[in-house]
Amino acid sequence: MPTAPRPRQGSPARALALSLAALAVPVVAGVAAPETADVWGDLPWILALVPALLLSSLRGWQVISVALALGMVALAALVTVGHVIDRDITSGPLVLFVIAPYIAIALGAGWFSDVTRQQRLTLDAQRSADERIRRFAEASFEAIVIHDKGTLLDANATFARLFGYEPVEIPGMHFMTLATEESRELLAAKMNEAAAGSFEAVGRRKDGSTFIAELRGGALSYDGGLVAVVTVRDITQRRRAEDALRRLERALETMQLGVTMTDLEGRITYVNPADATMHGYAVDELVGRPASIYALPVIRRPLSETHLRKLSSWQRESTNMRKDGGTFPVMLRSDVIESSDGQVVGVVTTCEDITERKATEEELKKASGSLRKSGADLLVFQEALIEAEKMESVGRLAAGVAHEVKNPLMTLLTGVKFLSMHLGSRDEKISGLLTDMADAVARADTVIKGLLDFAAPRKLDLTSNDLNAIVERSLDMMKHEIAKGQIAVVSELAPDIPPLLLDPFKLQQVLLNLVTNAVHATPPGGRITVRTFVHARAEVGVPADGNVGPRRTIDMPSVFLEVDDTGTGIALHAETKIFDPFFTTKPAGQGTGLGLSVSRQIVHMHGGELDIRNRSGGGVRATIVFKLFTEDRTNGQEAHPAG
Amino acid sequence: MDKKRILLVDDEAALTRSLGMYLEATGKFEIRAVNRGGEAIRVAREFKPHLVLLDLMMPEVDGTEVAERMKADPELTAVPIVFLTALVKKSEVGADGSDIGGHPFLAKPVDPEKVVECIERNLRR
Repeated sequence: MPTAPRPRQGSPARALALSLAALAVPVVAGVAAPETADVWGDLPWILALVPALLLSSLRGWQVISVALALGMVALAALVTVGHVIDRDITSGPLVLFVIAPYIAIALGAGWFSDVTRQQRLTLDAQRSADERIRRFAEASFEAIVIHDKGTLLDANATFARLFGYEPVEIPGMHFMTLATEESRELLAAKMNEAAAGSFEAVGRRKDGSTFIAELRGGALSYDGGLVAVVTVRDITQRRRAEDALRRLERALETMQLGVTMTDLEGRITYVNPADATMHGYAVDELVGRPASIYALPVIRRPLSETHLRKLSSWQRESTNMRKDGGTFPVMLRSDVIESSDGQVVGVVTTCEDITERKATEEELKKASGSLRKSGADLLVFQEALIEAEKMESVGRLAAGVAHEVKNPLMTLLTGVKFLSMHLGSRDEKISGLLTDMADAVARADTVIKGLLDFAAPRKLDLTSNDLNAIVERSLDMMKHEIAKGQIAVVSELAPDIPPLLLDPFKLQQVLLNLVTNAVHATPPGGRITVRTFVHARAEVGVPADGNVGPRRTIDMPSVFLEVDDTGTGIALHAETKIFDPFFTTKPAGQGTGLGLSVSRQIVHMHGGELDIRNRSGGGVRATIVFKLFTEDRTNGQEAHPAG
Repeated sequence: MDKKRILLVDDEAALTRSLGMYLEATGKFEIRAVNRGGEAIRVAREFKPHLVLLDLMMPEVDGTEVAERMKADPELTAVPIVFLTALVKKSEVGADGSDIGGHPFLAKPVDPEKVVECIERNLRR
């Protein structure tokens, strides 16, 4: 910055020399002209002035020294003149008259130099203040410029750099040069106001590029006057960042997904309106509160820091609590927020209300559950249909086979009988052979009949029946066989069996089959137990004593019929085969092996289950299960009344 | 004693041969056999049987049709018919020996003794 002219300072050495010189004059004069100059008489005068001389010379008050010195010279002149005119003129008013002006000057100069001194101090202060400002201004990162009504007087290097100019180019420029068209009006207005405070304008650099500037104006004393000082900041970046931030904010504020940011202590630092509304709060009710405010009391655990560090997209379903205490299912997803140097500074969590989704899921589950059930039912029906079709084709096959076999059998039988008529009596061996042949034919016939019976499409003749009565009838029919086998029979028939829709004839057939098997399997002294009871639920395949097997659950009350024997049981390899047609463990000729397959068919047609397996304690248990429907019974074959 | 004339109608030749042989061996009957349903009426008219043993399952013209034709024929309408069939299932044979279509029947294979009894029973009717 330019400097003001400075007053010259006196040199003490010079002043002292002058003073001593001045002092020397009267002394020399007195010595030279002792008669006219009573130096020794005047010596006190001289000596009195000496300190003044010395002081003023030491203080550099050159003017005073000069004045006093002149006074001394004047005195010396007087003395000389007195010497010349032969008069002592160093006394009296004349002396005073001559010396007084010099003393006056000395005093005045002293005062004057005092004033000058003050001024100089002020100027010095001003100078150093200005100097400080200059230094600060140059050191400042702010662009600072001083202008007077728009004309730039001075600017710091930062200012020049900001606009792409050299510092020397600035003084004399007009502010408008540095602004774009659209900003000039605003600038003009502001400049006239010389207002304090900040405003924005668009600056233009030397190369023509523009930037958004923030200007701050103020007043400054400068060179004894007041000038306007303005700081300019390039806020283009900041503005861009602000705009981006505002956009982000806007997005966060309008989106439907709840967003919460928490600090490392788990306190909410930000929450968007969606999140607040979702939980029944106002935004300002949540900021500063711990994030556990959302959680149910039982799971209010703050996230530990280590947990936080491990967090990277932690997604989980949870249940959140609203202000009113109500809960709702949510999908939460948390991520850590890291500062630019990788420090974890907080957590951001999105929160989605999945009430609807859950409800839909439930519906779907239910629907698929019932679909699955329907599917299962369909499968059952399908199987039954396939079974029926199979049976129909088997029936047709059987009929065909039967016909084709029966005719030859007839021929054989007739032939054997004929031969018996003619040859039988002659030879025992021949008659024996012919008897065997006849038996063989009979047996073949039985098999064919059994096959037809098995293959026959059945129709159930359903009537309301007392199961226990059918059981008792069957046992009664078998009593002879049972007695012959020396087998004890125990019947435990529950009295609370409700009437069932059954085909009594066919069911009897089944019971006879089962009891017959039991009788054949049980050695003398053994026991057969027949049981009927109702059970709330049926798990078919798992007899009461817990033998393991494939299970099927029938979820409704069921009637059980069990036939236990104390026989040898079913051989392991045979367990899965017992229902196969023609499978029998009896010796050849005894039974067709069709009994159980027919029995099972009959039970299935009643909608029930027939299960036969070994008991853990030995022997076999045959179980028939009929489902109990409590609905009204529909007619005959349509419904599954007993199952 | 007069031998009764029995007409056997069955598509199985071996059967008619053997049964015919048996029945004749009893000395009570005179047997004619027909192996095609279509010929039954013509032969019956000629033979004038006292009873017809009629197989149900025959190709072309089956037993029921023969029975109908016989019924429609004034000469044959009164002739008793006994069905002889392989088609009857065990469960269909009731204890009372029920009929098929109004005629008694025997289920193959049947002991030829029983055939004789059945014929004699139905002849008396």
